[in-house]
Amino acid sequence: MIIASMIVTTQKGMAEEVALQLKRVPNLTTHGVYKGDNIIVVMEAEKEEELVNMSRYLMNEFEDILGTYPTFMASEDEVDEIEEK
Amino acid sequence: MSISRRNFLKASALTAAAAAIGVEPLHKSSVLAAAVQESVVWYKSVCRFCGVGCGVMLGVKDGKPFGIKGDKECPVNKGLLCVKGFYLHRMITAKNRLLHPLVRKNGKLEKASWDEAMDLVASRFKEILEKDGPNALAYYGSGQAQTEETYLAQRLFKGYIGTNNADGNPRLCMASAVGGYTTSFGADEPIGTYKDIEHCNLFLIIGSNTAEAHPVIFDLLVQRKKDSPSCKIIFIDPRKTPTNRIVDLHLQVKPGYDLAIMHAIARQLIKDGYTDEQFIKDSVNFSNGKDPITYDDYKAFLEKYTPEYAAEQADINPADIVKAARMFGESPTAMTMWCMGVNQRVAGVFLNNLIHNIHLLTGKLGKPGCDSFSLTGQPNACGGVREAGGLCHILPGHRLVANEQHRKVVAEIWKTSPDKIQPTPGKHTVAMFGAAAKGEIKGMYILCTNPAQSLPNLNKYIPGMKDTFLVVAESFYPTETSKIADVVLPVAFWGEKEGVYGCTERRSQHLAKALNPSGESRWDGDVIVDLAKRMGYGKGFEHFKGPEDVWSEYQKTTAGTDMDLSGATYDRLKKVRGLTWPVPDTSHPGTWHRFTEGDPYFPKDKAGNRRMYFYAKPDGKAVIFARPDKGPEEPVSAEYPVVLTTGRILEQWHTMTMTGQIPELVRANPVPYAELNPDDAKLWGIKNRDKVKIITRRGLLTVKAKVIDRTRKGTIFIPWHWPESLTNILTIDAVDPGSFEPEYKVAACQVAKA
Repeated sequence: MIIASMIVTTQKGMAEEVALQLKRVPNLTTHGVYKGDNIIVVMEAEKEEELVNMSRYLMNEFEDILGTYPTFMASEDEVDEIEEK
Repeated sequence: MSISRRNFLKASALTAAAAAIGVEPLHKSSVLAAAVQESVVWYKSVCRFCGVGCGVMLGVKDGKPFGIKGDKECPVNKGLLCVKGFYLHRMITAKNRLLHPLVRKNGKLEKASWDEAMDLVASRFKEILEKDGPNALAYYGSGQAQTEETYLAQRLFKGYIGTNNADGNPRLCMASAVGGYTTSFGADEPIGTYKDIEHCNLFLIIGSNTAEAHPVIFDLLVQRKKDSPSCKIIFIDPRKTPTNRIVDLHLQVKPGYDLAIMHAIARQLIKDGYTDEQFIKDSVNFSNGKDPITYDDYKAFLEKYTPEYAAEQADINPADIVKAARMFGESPTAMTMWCMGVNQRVAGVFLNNLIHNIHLLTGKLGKPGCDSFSLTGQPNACGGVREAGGLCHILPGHRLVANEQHRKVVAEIWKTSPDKIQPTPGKHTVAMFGAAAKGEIKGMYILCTNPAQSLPNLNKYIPGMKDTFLVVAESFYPTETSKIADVVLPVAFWGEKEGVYGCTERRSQHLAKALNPSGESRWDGDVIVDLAKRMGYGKGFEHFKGPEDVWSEYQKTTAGTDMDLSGATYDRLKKVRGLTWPVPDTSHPGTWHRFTEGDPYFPKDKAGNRRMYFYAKPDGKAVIFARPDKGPEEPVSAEYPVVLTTGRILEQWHTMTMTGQIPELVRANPVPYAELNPDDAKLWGIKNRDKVKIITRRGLLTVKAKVIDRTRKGTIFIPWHWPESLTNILTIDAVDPGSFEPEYKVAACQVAKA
């Protein structure tokens, strides 16, 4: 299982509506709209390749999405638990 | 307390996303900060892919690449990365990294020691040099090599071996932009920088799918449109692409027929009174390409280019040309951006000139929000090849081999005789591989590039490459070129070596060494110095102990030139996020606009009241050219009725040597395909995913059909990335007579269901 985040940029004034639509996309959670038209999105998926596939899917399927910019990805399996200091 | 790995990762993911757009962390867990600080060291670098020059931070944990993130402090991308850059760290440890030298024995490449490989290269090169002379040897470099590497290679081949057969792959992508800048303004590279985007209200994008080829620049345009409601974008391109999503007016031209449009825009600007007559009087000359002409001659020349004439040539609506001209003229600011759709043409230099023409007519240059700004395809095509003398006609510091004084200055710095540098340009890329095919070039050193996939009309050149004694310095194996080499030298990859990249906006940035080279691989610079020593030139190279020594010497070649880097010392570059030249001393902050107030070389005494003084021209005046509207070399015909155009997609880069190693990227578009217009597909009886044959006068390729409303009717588009399906067996090797750049963008073909 991987966890990844990306910034999704939209046409002006469309971010809230796109964020609402993205809530219906499986494995994707939206975490708000920032600085106008940037949506922070976190994705959970089985394989790393799904980040690229998701990026392509969002660009192809949502006319109001202008760009997807990945910011983080890591595998859940690498370390079991981390102690908070 | 403890948190699960999943929650930790989610917090990290949110924090990274928040940081990238400069908002407060969404999850204030001290776990993340502690974990990151304690276990991962982040090194400042620059992305390895396109020419945008995005700042990246390479994370290293326990001596291994851990991750990548956008550099928030870098003014270019402010933390943003595209999907290719995001996987950069994974390429360092890709399965196909070449870890030891290979030498061909009995027809097969076999593992060898460095000594065996280098002795063989040196002895064969010396043998060729003695028997056939210096011009039987050649060097073919790359806009991906670091500046220090390109500089050293030029030094060896031009300054010591004594041949100007030293060219680089920017010949295939940026040479027409070089030709355009040098003929129009007197010196190569843009006048402005990315900072102009923040001030611009009218963008003209021509021949560039910015959204896919330069995604971070595209985001800058998106942000600018949002910040400035009056900002408009005009797009001139044969395809609809994701770039269209922010475009206000699209002129979907017939490939190869856009020169008349630029003339028609110029004509309309004059007719509607949008010209800056004072600027023209002060700072512009006119030429027909051979002789000076007057402004009135130019106006008379333009009379042919009515909107109707240009529209007929390009098969678009004439009203759109008038509209485009008026949008350009009415806006107080304007930037034109272009890429391969302009440069990879037999009239590439002409078209570059025509772009500069409309900026010179309207005075929309050298002030905030105004520039004719060429987008670059490779990360160090500007810094390494165009600036460090990596083409067959130039020397470091924008100098020319044909100029005696330039040869003298450079020879002194290189500690060689001025007579050693030949006074005439060497063979440009296509001529160089043509000479190899004829047996005139017998030995070639190829660094960090893959011509056996990237040259046009491949079937013509590959046999010659096989016959030549071919040395390939590469980080990856196999590539189409290393497969046919005689010696393959394993070299350090990005992150494993230190150096400097110079991006599109004249910004030189330092890349830190974060890791030791993999296996037996070595820094390219070290290999070139080793070769020089083994060929008997040791004395001229013994003072280079590392990249900083090379950079320091290179700086001297730039002193006093239009691209002065004297103030960009390694110490300084390691601390800052790049400097935009000219930067003549270590207290200079770098230059926003050239040829005007603020440029340290702007000659106030000569300029007088002129706002701009193009000091690389004898009288300080730029040139507006009355160029003919030349069409493509191979227009469609009854036999070959369809236009073939080629290009790139978001997830892949060039010949997939790097991006092809990342399964996540490959699977986004796993198989080669051709985009077909739905009307054409219907007419030809082809459905989506059918196999189609594409035939040109040079070859045949079978790929899958992707039926999509992107290309014009009568035009197909093929991305050129996949090595198992060599698009360039189809493309034409006709070159622009000024830049010698091939016309990858237009060829005539047949299309049929396979």
